[in-house]
Amino acid sequence: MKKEDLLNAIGNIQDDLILSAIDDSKESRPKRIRRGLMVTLAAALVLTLTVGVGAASGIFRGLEDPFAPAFRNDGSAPPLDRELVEKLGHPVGVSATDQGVTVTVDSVLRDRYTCTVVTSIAMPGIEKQEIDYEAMEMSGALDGFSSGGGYTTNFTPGDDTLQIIRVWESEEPFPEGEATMTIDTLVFNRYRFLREKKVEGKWELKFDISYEDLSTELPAGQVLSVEGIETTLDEITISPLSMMVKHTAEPGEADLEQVIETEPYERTLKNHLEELACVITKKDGTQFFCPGTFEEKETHMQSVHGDSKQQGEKLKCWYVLRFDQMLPLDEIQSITIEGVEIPLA
Amino acid sequence: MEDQEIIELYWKRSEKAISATEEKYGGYCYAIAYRILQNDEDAQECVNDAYFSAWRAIPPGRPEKLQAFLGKLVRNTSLNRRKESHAQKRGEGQIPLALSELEECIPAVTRVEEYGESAELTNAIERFLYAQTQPKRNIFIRRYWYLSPIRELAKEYGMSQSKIKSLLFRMRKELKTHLEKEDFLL
Repeated sequence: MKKEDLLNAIGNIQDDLILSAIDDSKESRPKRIRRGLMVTLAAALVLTLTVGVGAASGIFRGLEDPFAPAFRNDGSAPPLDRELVEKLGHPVGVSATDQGVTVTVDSVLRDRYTCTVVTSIAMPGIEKQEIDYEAMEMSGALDGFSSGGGYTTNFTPGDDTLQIIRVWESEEPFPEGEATMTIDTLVFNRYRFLREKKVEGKWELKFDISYEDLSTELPAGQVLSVEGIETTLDEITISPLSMMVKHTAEPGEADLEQVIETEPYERTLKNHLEELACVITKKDGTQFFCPGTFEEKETHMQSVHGDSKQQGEKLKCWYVLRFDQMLPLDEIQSITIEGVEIPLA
Repeated sequence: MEDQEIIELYWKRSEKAISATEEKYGGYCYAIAYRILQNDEDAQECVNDAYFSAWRAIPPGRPEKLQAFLGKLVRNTSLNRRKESHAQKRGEGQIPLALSELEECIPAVTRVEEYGESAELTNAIERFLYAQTQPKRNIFIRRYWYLSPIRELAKEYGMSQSKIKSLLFRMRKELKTHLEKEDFLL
């Protein structure tokens, strides 16, 4: 058998398999992206910035509406906890219109390490489009935070409005204050491949991202063993939206080289260190998992983002788990990381 | 336009069938071709060739899934074009990478010539894919059917590139074991 035979044989698999892979990629799933790919226009075009009256007058589409898209929408998640929503987020309602396209920031929902912005884009015929959310950039209070993700949803087909949920995650706490979200050129690409369609314009939206910090830090300092490598938990911070775990691995000189320098295909140990096995157990027995593999059918996580950097012979690691629903802290029994159970006081 | 309406246009021998196909699936077909050929002109030609193949195949054919039907046509056309053209140069596009990766799946001892490009091999791969969880299955198909770059998969599935690579690495090893087992059983 030749490798070409395999490639050809894969080419003839059943139609359902082929189409399923495309459908899956277009689902409203959280996605991690890297910033720095913003499309920058040489010439700034006319910008009409309109601060929506909604925020001032209290007119919104219902309290839950602006926030609901920030979580999964398959109907299985519990209703949003209004008290928590009011503490962790704001309805925004700020709009900007350019080139016949209106961009509205519907809501912001955040905690110490994550910030989720629900944005609507209204344009005739937008319904079946996919927007390249990498072209959306935040600055101001969020300037300098380089990681995050985004995904596109459309809950009301036919209304010429598409929603983009843009998520920022960071190793360092996000500041408060006014943030500016700038969109330079909307890039539409239904299949995310080529043949892009662009609406060249500029939309700049300023809004407040202050919030009440409901995060709790759990006792840290535990020493864990990950595939024979010692790592010390530096910080475990949990909020109703997410959990941050920071730890320092000390693999020793030889192992560190192996962890960092090994060929990409073999870097499972590094992956493991960047995403430690973790289970959050609620008092009712429900468990939330860090999806280190796809084996767990229901992880209750929207995304996991881990990273690491070398400091001498140590590897500083962190990862943030975003929940697929609000998780009131008083409902949590314990958190177990790599088999070490830490009760939530 | 619904797929069935487009197929009816083919059956009526209406040239609108091609424009309707292009409008609905042009981007999809072009993306598949471009990934294989890494050349705009060649990709466009292969897409057009695929439309022509569809024109010749319908009727008498009536594909159940028009999108997949077109995808297969353009994938095969593009792979053939790649064999013949300068695009076969080393290091271009995703094909050399995908082939290099797939080499790991080839069983050490196999009924090489009997398999060839036969349906048996495809069936064995399908059984392997259906045994996977849906996300893993789809990532595999995105990589080796659509030839999506690792970077793109990492972005779309919210995973690091190294994690996607690790996942595919494990799946290739599993596929190799699966093929060895199937070979033994057949």
